[in-house]
Order: sequence, then C-alpha cells, then structure tokens
Amino acid sequence: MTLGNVRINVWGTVLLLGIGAGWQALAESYGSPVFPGPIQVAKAIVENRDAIAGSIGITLRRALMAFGAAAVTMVPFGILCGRLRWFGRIVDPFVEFLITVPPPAVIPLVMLFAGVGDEAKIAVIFYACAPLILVNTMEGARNTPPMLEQVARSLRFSRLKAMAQVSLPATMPAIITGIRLAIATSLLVSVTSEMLLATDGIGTFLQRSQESFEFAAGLGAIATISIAGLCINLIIKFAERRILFWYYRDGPT
Amino acid sequence: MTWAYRIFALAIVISIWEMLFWSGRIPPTYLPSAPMVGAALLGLAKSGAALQAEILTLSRALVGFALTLVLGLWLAILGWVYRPVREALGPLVELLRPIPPAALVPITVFALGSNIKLYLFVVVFVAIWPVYLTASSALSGVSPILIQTGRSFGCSRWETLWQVVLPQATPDILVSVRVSAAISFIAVVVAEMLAGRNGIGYLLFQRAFAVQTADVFGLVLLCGVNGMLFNQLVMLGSRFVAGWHLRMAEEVSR
Amino acid sequence: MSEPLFSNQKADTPEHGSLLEITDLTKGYGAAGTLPVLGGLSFSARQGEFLSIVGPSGCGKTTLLLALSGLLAPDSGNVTFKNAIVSGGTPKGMAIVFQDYSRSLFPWKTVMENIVFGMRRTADRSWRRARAAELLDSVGLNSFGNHYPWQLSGGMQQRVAIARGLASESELLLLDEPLAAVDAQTRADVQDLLLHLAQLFGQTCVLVTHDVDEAVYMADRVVVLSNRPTRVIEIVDVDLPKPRDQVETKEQARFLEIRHKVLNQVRNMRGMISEPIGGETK
Repeated sequence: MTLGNVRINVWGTVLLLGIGAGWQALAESYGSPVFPGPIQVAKAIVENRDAIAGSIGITLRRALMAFGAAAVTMVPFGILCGRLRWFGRIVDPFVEFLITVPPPAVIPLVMLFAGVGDEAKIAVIFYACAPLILVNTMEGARNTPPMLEQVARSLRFSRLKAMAQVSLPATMPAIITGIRLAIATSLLVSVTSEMLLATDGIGTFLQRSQESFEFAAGLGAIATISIAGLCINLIIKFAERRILFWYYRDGPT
Repeated sequence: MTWAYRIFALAIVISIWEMLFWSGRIPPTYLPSAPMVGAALLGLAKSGAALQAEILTLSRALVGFALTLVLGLWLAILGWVYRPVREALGPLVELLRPIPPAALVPITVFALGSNIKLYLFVVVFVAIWPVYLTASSALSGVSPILIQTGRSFGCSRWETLWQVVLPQATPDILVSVRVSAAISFIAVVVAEMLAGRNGIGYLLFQRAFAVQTADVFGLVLLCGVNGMLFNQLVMLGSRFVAGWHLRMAEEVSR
Repeated sequence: MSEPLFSNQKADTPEHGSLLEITDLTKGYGAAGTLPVLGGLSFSARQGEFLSIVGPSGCGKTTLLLALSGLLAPDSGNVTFKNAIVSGGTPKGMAIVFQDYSRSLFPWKTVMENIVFGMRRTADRSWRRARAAELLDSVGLNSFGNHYPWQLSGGMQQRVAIARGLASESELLLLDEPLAAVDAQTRADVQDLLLHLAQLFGQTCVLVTHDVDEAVYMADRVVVLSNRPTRVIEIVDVDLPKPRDQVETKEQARFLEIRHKVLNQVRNMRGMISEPIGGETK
C-alpha cells in the first residue's frame, strides 16, 4: 500500500499490533509482575530511561571502539593479503582456524588474561569483528579483476594512483560487506560480553534487572537492544546504498 | 596444497607458543605449554567430563538446529505461497534479529527452567533468521521463466514449488544452513555459560573460575573442533543434496 | 491499412476448425489498462502448418505467446485450442520453447532428465527413457544425455529445449524467439532441424520472432503484427516449396518478394514506436 511516496507494510503493521495486543491481554489476565505486557515494559523503559540510556551508550561506545580498531587494522591488512598472494596463503590457515572458535568461547580465556573490565570486552569484540572484515577484504582484493588496473595503467595512471582510484573502489563492495557484518556483530558481542563479564552496559543492566525480578525493566533492556540494532542496520543499509549506488544499479542484491 | 600451508601455520603457532612458554615471560597460569594443554585435554577426556559435556552440547545444538531448519523453511515456503505472511513477518524479523542469544537467556531460564526447552528456544530464536531470510529471498528470486516452464508442462502451483522452485533455490538455502548451524552451536554454548548446569559452555566457565588455564585452552580448542565438525557435516549434506550446483560453480569458474 | 496483396484471407478472421484460434485478443498492463499491449488480435494456426509471427520490437510478442499458452490471462477475447478455450494454464497438447534456455532448462537435471520432464503428462512411464533417447538422437545430441545443460553450448541447449518440447507429444509447439540468443551459424542449423522435425512428427508450430528472414524462411504463413496496441496487419502466404534450403530458397525471387514486403511493413511500424515498456523491448 502506498501513501504518497511511502510504501506502508500493512500486514506487518497488523501483525505487530496483533502481537502487542495479544501479549497485553495475556499479561493482564495473568496479572502478575513477573509477566509484564508491552505497556508495562514501555513504562519501565521510561522510568529507567537514564539508566538505560547510559547503559546502551556504554555498550555502543565499546562496540564502536572495537569495531573501529578492527576496521582500521584489518582493511589494509586484508588488502595486503589479497594482493600479495603468497602472504595471503600463509595467513589463510590462521584465519580459518580463528573463525571456527566463536567469540563467546573465547570469553572465559580473555577473562583469565584480562579480567572483566573494559579492555577484556573490547578485546572480545575486536576478536569477533576482525576476522569478518579481514576475510571479506581479502576475498575482495583477491577477486578484483586485474583487467581494471590494466585499463588504468594503459591510460597512464601511476601504479599507486591505479590502485587507489580503480582497484580500491572495485574492492569496496566486498569491504563494505565485511564492515556491515562486523558492525552488526559488534553490538551483539558487546552485549554478550557484558552479560558474561558483568560490570556495566546494557547487558549487565539486563542481568541485574532479572536478578532483582524486575522483569519489565529486563524486557525493556531487550527492547532497547533490538531497537538499537534495528537503527544500526537501517543506517548501514542506507549508507551502503549511497556509497555503492553503482553496484546496486541492477537492483538490490 | 592447502594442507601444506595449514600444517606450516600450525607448526609456526606451536613454535611461537612454546618459545613464549619457555622464555618464562608469561607465568604458566596464563600460558601453559602446548603439551600441558594436550595433557589437560586428555585428563578431561579420561575423566569423562569433556565427553559428557561434548555429547550434551552437541545434542542440544543438533536438535535445536533441526528444529530451526524445519521452522525456518516452512515459514519461508508459507511466505512464498501467501504474500501477506511474507509481508507480515518482515518488520517482526527486523525487530527480533538484533537480539543476541545471551540477552534471551535470563528471561527464558526463568520461564522455562534450565533444561532442553531453554536451549531449543534460544537456538531457534537466534538461528532461524539466516535460514528464513535466505530461503524467502531465494524462493522469490527464482526466474519467472523457470516457473513458466514448469507450469507450461502442466505443473500445479504446489508441484511447481516442489519440483521447480525449491530445487533451484536449494544452493542458496544451503549456504544459510551452514551459517545457521554455526549459530546454533554458539547459542547453546552461550546459554550453557549463563544458565547451564552442564555442557561445554558451563565447563568452560567453571574451569576458568578455577583458574585451570590448560583446561580452558583445551576446551576452547574443542569448541573449534566442534565448529569444524558441524561445518563439514553440512558441507557433506550439501554435496548430497545439491551436488550439481558445486559442479556448475566449478565449470563456470574455469 | 492497405489491401493485402499476398494473402487470400482477411487478416482479422480466424479460420474455424483450426487447431488454434485467436479471437480479438487484448491485453494491457498498468492500472485500468493504461498500457495497452495487445489491441485485438485475431488469427489462427491450421493443423500441421508452420506459422511465423513477426513484428516490430516492443509489440508484445512474448505477451502474445504467454496468452496463447494460457500462462497469462487476456483482458478480453479468447484463445481456442482444439475447440476448447484456453485458460488457467497450458492445455495438454501444447508445449513451449522459451528464448532464454539458460533459465528454462532445469540446471539440476541432466539433459536426459530434462527431456523426460517434458513427458510428465503422458501416461506411460515404462518407455520414457527410450523415447527420450530417441528424441535426443533426433536433435543430434545422442551422446550428451548425461551432461548437464550448462555444460553445453547455447545452440545445443536450445536443441535440448526443443527435444523437451517434442517429448510432451504436443500437437502444438510454441516457440518464443528460440534462436535470438544463439549464434548465426548454429541458428541456421537449428532452423533446418526444426523444419525437419516438424515435418517428421507432423508438428504444428507457432514461431514468434523478430527476424523477418527467419520468419519467411521457416513458415507456411507469416502473421505480421503492428505496433502497440498490436493488431494483425496482414497474414502472408509463403508459397515456397518445402523442404527449404538455406542457400537455394533464399535466392528464389518469390522469397525475396515476400521478404521485401514483410520487412517493409515491419520497418514502417518501427518508425511509429512511442516508448518502451519499462525497459523491455518485446
């Protein structure tokens, strides 16, 4: 259904409202604070808005820092590995192995080495993001058709200029895929690390609410995480479309 | 050829590891030697603790994964047949997708208890999105010409779905199945870490709190091995179900 | 519209008793038919004949074919096949060969299995493979049964598609620009193969094409379509002897006359095209 220029998802709205209404009805019939309905959850969010805002801010800050570090280090490294074939082939097995060990499995190890503070969590998030960016960048750098650079060279571009102005943009879709996955993962792992190494952040807020039986607040924290993730995904989607408008010219992939 | 590189890489890692250990720079509590890790693993295996944990975690992951596949595919098919279903699920998926498994555990464990139901719920909740989203887009992305061909030879809508659309969509779906398998395993481990009473995740944290570093390293390795196992299993399954696609990809890349 | 010089039949009336009759077929896209494509088509295909349909780009040839086969419901008018109205799917007795063979042949099935798929509506299962092997042989691909379609060249794939169409034992074979995506040399070979098979199996064929030479070379009659909204301008009898020959036939004066006439008509239509439908030019 279109309203002017905007497409409205009718069925989606219906389902969400339906679920909300059903949930509220169920909660009211149950009538206990351990089963809050959406209205109670919303109230809890408003009541705790400072705590929640502060917590999610901490979570996001850590996620961003770790992601930033991963991006800044892994993109150049990945390009290097992709272009220098022999080096890439040596790096491959390491990355292959690291991918099989998921971030949560590494957390107890990190705890032994670095305790439960900020650094520990950032290290874990870095560990989660880095391989994603590295693998995608490497693949992209490997698969950039050498023809493009040859064309640039035939037009008398210097080697560096050819790489920067032709090969790099051509590798961008792969790099951005890695970045997109890494950003989504960073939030996820940030929350997970806060629940396992509980000091602060929205994950800890969630856990503490549960422990003190404040379920509405706990659900509110989950809702906050969900909305934060949703916003991040939307921002990435739009940014991607703008930066890679040429890549999507034949329609969204 | 790749195996040569892998063994080479492993050799480098173990050498550096041993050098660090023998240099005495890092106390053994933090960095046990490789043989110590091996011994720890063996010890765990002999005591049956590792095996028991492994069986528990794996079985939970497998059951959850199977359930996820069935639900995810069924929802995608439903969405292909009935457009309103697909549209309705869209926003809901986007809202639920960013929630990490860890965040679900406290509430779920309160509602369902620390048993198989907890693991099933958490796994399905987290691992279903790649399958559903990919299957949904793969099904609707099948070329209309292929569908017209099927129908022109007398296929009903149902027959078209099973004999034309699904086979064509299978290769893409299988990729997401691999992802989903990995997620299933992680979700179980995370749930065990937070609220479990047994399993690899639980054991990991227990050993970490007891500062049994060698054990922890060993268990982390075990996680890696499990991940590889799952991956290989799915790859084998893929080859069986859609071997044609792998051959086609090889041909095209030539 | 000028008085047709070459046909002995008015362009607008389908012949009764034909295998396929099309009466006043219309189809439009967009809300409230804002984009009329087919503007009232009438013609027919006689049993055993080879009918070509030719027209300017964008005149809705594929839309027409989809409507003929029951895969697309017309806005008005009807299609009659074997004296029954075609609706809601392709009737038994009709088969289609699509232009895009890479999207029409099933990539997970071997060549043989693809051909067997064409037989799904014929009752006997017992000798399907034998029959498929025969058909494979008749299109000249008898050693490729266990290959996958994507392992074959374009011309070969289209031959598989033709074999699949023939496998369904249909009286009517509809072909949607089957040779547009095939290289010129192969095109000639497959054209002759089609003519040969059509004669061998007594197959009625309706070939939609943009290539006037092909249309005239292959056909017993040529239906010339106008611009959008498409109507039949003329139906031309091609009274050239069969079997046709790529060299001999195309040098005959009669061939050149017919070709000249049809090409001119299509060319005149081309000058009157307004705008394409969303990028598609058929």
